[in-house]
This record gives sequence, structure tokens and C-alpha cells, in this order.
Amino acid sequence: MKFESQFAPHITPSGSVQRMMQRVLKALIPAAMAHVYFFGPGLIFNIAVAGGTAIAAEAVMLRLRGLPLRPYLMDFSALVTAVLIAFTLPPLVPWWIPATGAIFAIVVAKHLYGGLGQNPFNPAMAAYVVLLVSFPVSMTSWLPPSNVDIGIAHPALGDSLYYLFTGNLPAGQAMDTITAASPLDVTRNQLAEARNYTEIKTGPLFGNFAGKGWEWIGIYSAFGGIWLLYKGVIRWQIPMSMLLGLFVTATVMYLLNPGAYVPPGFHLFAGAALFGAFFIATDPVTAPASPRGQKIYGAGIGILVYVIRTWGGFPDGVAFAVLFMNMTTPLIDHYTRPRVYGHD
Amino acid sequence: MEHQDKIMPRRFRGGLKLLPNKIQSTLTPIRRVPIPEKLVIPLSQHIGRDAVPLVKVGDDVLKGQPIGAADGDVSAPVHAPTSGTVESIGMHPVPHPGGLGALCVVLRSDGKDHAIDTGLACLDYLSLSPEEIQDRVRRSGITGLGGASYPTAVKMSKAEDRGIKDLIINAAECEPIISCDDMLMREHANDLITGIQIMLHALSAPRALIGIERDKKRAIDALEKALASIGDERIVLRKIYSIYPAGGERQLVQVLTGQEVPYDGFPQDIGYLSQNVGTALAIKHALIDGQPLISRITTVAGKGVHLPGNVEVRLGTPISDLVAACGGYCDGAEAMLMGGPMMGFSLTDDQLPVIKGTNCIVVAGPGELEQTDYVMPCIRCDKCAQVCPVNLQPQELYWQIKGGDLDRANQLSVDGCIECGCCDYVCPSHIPLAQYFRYAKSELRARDRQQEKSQLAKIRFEDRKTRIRIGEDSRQARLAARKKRLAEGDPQERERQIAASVRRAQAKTDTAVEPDKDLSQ
Ligand code: SF4
Ligand code: SF4
Repeated sequence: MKFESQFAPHITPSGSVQRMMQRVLKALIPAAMAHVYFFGPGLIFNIAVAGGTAIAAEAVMLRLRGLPLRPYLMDFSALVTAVLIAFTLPPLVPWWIPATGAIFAIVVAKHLYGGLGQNPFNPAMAAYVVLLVSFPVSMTSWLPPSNVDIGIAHPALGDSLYYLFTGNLPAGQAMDTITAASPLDVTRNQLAEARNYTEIKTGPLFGNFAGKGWEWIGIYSAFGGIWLLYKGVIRWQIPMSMLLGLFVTATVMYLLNPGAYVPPGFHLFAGAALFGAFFIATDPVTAPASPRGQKIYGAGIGILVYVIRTWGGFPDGVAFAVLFMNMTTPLIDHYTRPRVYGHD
Repeated sequence: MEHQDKIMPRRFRGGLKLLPNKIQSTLTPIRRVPIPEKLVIPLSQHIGRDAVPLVKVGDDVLKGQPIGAADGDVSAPVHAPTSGTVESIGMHPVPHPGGLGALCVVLRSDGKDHAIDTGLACLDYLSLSPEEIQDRVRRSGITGLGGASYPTAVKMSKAEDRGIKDLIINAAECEPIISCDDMLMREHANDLITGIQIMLHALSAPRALIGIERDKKRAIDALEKALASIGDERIVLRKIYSIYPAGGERQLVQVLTGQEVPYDGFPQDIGYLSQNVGTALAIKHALIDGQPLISRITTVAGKGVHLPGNVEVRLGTPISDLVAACGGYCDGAEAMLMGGPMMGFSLTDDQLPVIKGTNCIVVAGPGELEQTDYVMPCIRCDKCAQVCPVNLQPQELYWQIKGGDLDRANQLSVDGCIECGCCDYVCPSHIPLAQYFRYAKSELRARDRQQEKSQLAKIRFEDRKTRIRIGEDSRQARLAARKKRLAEGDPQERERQIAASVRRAQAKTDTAVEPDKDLSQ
């Protein structure tokens, strides 16, 4: 009897890129639900627009590069990028913002650098930074979370959609009457006015740990992230060291001068720290490979987030910190290569 | 018997927990495959140089008679697995990862299975010196039966020269599906221990550590019973965790001793010698029963065969006979492997013969050995590096090899890759990583050989230059001596010289053409 020949190993591989990405998407569900609960359905619209654009852009780029569509489109990586972009956007933005973000992420940050696995920068974060620079007003106009009582009601569903498609609110409504500064901004501005955190915290935007609403999105992201850890999609080194880096830096500064700095707990739960630790910094393509390298990388992000939040001029530091540390990845990889068996 | 119930710490990083899939083939005792009518016995069944044929077509041979002699230091003889007539000697396809053929002796069995007196057996092996035992092992054609097929005697004599702290008996059959060592231990525990004792003596080693996976309960029971009845304090059973590839030579040394084998060396270099249980049993057969290596135990398993199990089979038997002894093919038998699913290689024909290294034949049923579909780009997820038992960074190696930078791959120690396939198994992009590393290793080896060759050529060239110079020197020395003799006025020499120059001058005038042409101008 004759048989076909094949290569070792002859065993079905344990996973696939597709499965990994699907799991990341699943793990984002709790955070997405919290987001919708506190900020209305905007996230869903943004995901729809960014997702659709990303997949279309991916298909076009694959065509241009002469790659087969099916395996690459089915890997869901474009969709993950799109969803991550959507998470960085305020709930109420005109459609061209998620669309521009998705196109930039897929075309420039991903495919122009060689496509899946080759991009040195996290595409979602690169897109976020481009959007922040190009549309600074829209990108910083957040609705207040639904559990904050400062007399601002979220716009009705129809009005939100109207805004999404036209970039304007229906006559008689103005954007700046329905938005509020984010807790991180409030904190920074008020610290600059020499008020201390204990006072600031009594403001309506603040909850148990950090900003109302925001803190829960962070906590729900962590739930999703822990499930990813459990499933082996991500490893603990990056999230852990990033949160530790942020926490330790914040603790040191706070202990040095409790009046001028915010307590470490606030930093952990504020803004995108938890979300970023589990879903952004862990992007394998742009992070170092060895466990030791990952710890350095994570800690670097944590410290930079603190630095940017405290002394920088941007609403949150996660995107910049991640992009900066992305640049150091090859260097970290080079210096943290583990010792091979039998070598001294 | 120290620490019998303790399990050794795992000690090496990475590895995989794989479904063992061994139950199917361990339900029934070892079966015997009938002696076939025609046996095809390759003269190269081992690492090293091929054996040279000792028989001619038409010769009658007896079971156990050498039919191929070891050629050089690293080689092993080959014996007739049964009695019969040599039908032909020629090239035949053999089980080989590259699908190559080899010189084979084709033997037609006479059905009598008459044995020759090999002179290997010995009533009291303790009366033999270690060298004598090694010599008998060499003459028995025994090679490592775990799959690598390195001539055992060569390994032993090298090791004995250096002094051995522990003999390590590899009973950790870590690849899924393979169960021949497990069954061997269950059924031949006493003989195995005897084989180990002989090896201890032949190596002048103080202790033997048997490394066995803790889930081989029946084999452990059998060994413990045998050890208790034989009562040899030098032989210690050590249970280890079942993690693939704990049975890799280097990994097992690490687990049992806590030491790493240097990347460019062997366990012998740090005082350990590792041998597979099958090899130990073969040594017992040779030195006690006088039987050289002419048969082995092989697992036949997979969903493509009706009654999976282990068989004892003469070397040279066509694989189809093994399948027949195991109930034959099921419908939809799809692929055939020699070795396990992780490190084995595929066979394209079931008429290939069983050789010394055939530890397992897997006949895959429909969809059992699914092959990689579409290879995606590496997403640097690092899963491969997490499972690599030797701490390589497969994603980085892959990157370099794919880009054609073999030098960089070499610097990153691709030669340390044990080709275990763990990285392949976890890679979500389904990149055939181990395949890349096999390729890089063989390319680098080929290049080394090439370099050696040109080095050699250079040396030869230098040699030639030196020879020429030496020649010149001596010619000048001769001339000088002659001049000296002339000057010293040796009359005979002078006469000889004059006669010679006259002859030379005559010869010149005889052959000169138009001698005065020059003058006319
Ligand atoms: S497992 Fe595969 S995809 Fe992941 S880093 Fe290794 S080679 Fe790349
Ligand atoms: S095949 Fe080589 S690189 Fe891959 S896990 Fe095994 S030893 Fe490491």
C-alpha cells in the first residue's frame, strides 16, 4: 500500500490565529457592555463603522499585495484592531473619525509595514494618536457617564445617529452643553490650581476608585483580561508589570508629596490603564518576546503612563507610552534573549 | 533504594502535556510477527558508515550469522534475522526521512530458523573485562533502540574511557502513541535489569538511574518487583513527570541529575551515559542468550489499523506484515509514520523493511494526522519560545532562516534545536518551524563539511608547495655536493662528469636544427 508523504510533527496544532483573535473579541464583551451602560450605544456605532471600514481596507490591501483574502480576513485581526480603536473614541463622534482611524491603522500602520506580524507599532494606538492630533476637539468631547448627576442628559438615540452621520446635533443642541471633561483632565487642571486630591475627589465625576463609570469599564476589562490569561492567549508578564510600574511610580510620588500628587489607586482605575494593560500592551506583534523582556516593556509602559499623565499635556498616557515602548522592542529583545540549553 | 516515591522535579522549561494515546496499544501482550518469506536487510541501519556485505548471492546463511561487517570505528555489523539463502544484494528503498534507498541484502527464508553459534553468550559476564563486553556488544550490532540508532559499543567505549558517574536508563517514552518500551518493561523487566547490570559492569559505573514517567504504572510495578527480587542496590528507579520531551536524552539527563549537557558535547562529557531500555534488553540477549540484534519490539498503532498493539518482529520484515499482525488496515487508512507523531517521519510504502530504529509504526485513520492548512505570518506571540525545552527563540530563528541568514541562525544556536516539534504544535500561525530548523541545521552541517573540504584542499596545496620546496632544496644540496666532490678532485667523479657532459653535448648537436642559422644573421 502507498501513502502520501508529510512533514513532522504529524499532530493537529493546538490553536490558530483565528481562535486567538476570536477570544480577544469575546474578552472585550464585558468592557463593551460597561461602556454602553455608562456612555450609551455610541461604542456600538463606532465598532460598526470602524469594523466595516477595517475589513474593507484589509481586503483592498490584501488584493494589492497579492495575498489570498480568505485566510487573512478570517483571522479577525482587522476586526480586533477596529474594536480597540472604537474603545478609544468618545461615544459621540461623526462617522469619519472611526473610519479614518480604521483606514490609517490597517493601511498605514499595518500593511505598509508588511502586514500581519510585521508592524512595529500597535495599529490601534497609532490610529488613536493620529485622530487625536487631527480632530482634537471631537476626540476629547466625552459625554459624562450616565451615573453622574450634573444635569446633563445623554442625547436621544435618533440624535446620536444624526450626529454620527452628519457631525452636527439637531438644531437647538450644542455639543459643549452635553459633554464634560474627563476625570483625568479635571484632576490635572485642579492639581495645577494647587487643590489637593482629597478635595478634587469630592467632585461629581469621581467614584469609589477613580472616575465614575470609567472605573467600572476598567474593572470589566480586567475580567476579560483575566479570562484571556486563563485561556493562555496573553501572558501575565506585561499586564502585571505595567500595572506595577504605574502603581509603584504613583506610590513613590504620592508618598513624597501627598498634596501635589494623586494616590496610586486612582491611577490604576483611571482612564485606560486597566484596559490598556490587558488589551493594548499585550499585542504580541509589537511587544518583546521573552518573559524578561516583557517585564521590562510592561514596567516601561506603566512608568511612562504615569509620567505623561502627570507632566504631559495629553488626556491619557496609555497610547503614547505603548507607542514609545514599541520602539524599544527590538532593543529589549536583543538584550533579553534567554540562555540556550547547554550554553554558558 | 532511595527516594522511590518521590517524583523528580521537572527542571527543564517548556515542553508540552500531550494526550499520551498509548492505551490502545498496551491492552494486549506483545505479539510475534511470523517470519516472512523474504527479508530485506539494509546494511545501514545505524548512524555512521554502512556495513560492508560479507555474503554473496546464493550463500546459505544461518540465523545470527553476520551478513554485513562494521566498516571503521563508527559503524555496526548486521546479522541474518533467520536462516535462508541470499537472493540478491542491491539498492532498495528503506525507511529514511529523505526517502533514500540503501544497499540491502535480500534473504529468502528457509522456514527452519536454524541458528548459528555466535559465540556472544557467556556464562558469567563478570568474568569478562569491560573491554571484552564492549567488544561483544560491538559484534552484536546493537545500536540505540530509542530511535537514534547510534552504535552502542562506540558510545560505551568512549564513555568508559572518560569515567561514568551514572548510567542513565531512558524509560521515559514521552512521545504520544509509542509504547514499545512500556510493554518491554512490563513483560521483560528481569531481563532488562540483567542487561543494565551487564552495562554497569562494562562501563565500570557505580550506579544506574532508570528515568520513567510516573504514569507508566504497570511498568513501574514490574520494574519494582524485578528490582526487589534481584536486589541490586546500584539500580535506582526515578519517577519523572510526563512532559514531552522529558525522554529527550538531554532533557532526561537534566531532570535526573540537574545538569545540562554542553551544547557541543555529549552526556558522556559530564559523566553520564544514557541508554534506552530496548538497548539494555538487547545487551542481555547478546551476552546471555548469544543472540545478536536481529529483532525488536515495535508499536503498531493509529486509527488506521484494526488491533493496535506491540509486536516483536525480525529486522527486515516488511511493514505490511506488522499491519497484518495487527488486524490489517481499517478503511480510510491515510498516512503511515515511522516513529511518533511529533518526531517521526512519513513512509510512502508499506513494503519498506523494519530496521533497528523502527520503534513505532503509526497508521493514521481519516483526519487523525491533520496537516497544517494555510501558513500565516508569525505574529510574534511567543508561544513557541514558551514551550521550547532548550530555551531557543524559534520565532527569531524562523525569521532569520526565512530571510536566508543562516549565519545569524547559527549564532542564535539553531544547532541546539532538538527538533522536538513543540513549537510547531503551539504555533497559532501553523508555521512548520521544526522543518525550518532541520533545514538550517543540515545546511550548516553541509557548509561545515564544505569548509572542511576546502580547508583540506588548502592543506594539500600547502603540502605540495612544501614538498616542491623540499625537492628543490635537496636538488641544490645534491648539486652542491657534486661540485664539492669535483673541486676536491675525486678522479672517478671527474671522469663521470666529463663523460656525461660529452654525452649531453653530442645529444645537443645531434638534435640541433640548422646550427649555423644564428651565425648567418
Ligand atoms: S508560535 Fe508561531 S506565530 Fe507565535 S511567535 Fe512562534 S512562530 Fe510566531
Ligand atoms: S523543535 Fe527546536 S526550536 Fe522547536 S521547541 Fe523543539 S527544540 Fe525548540
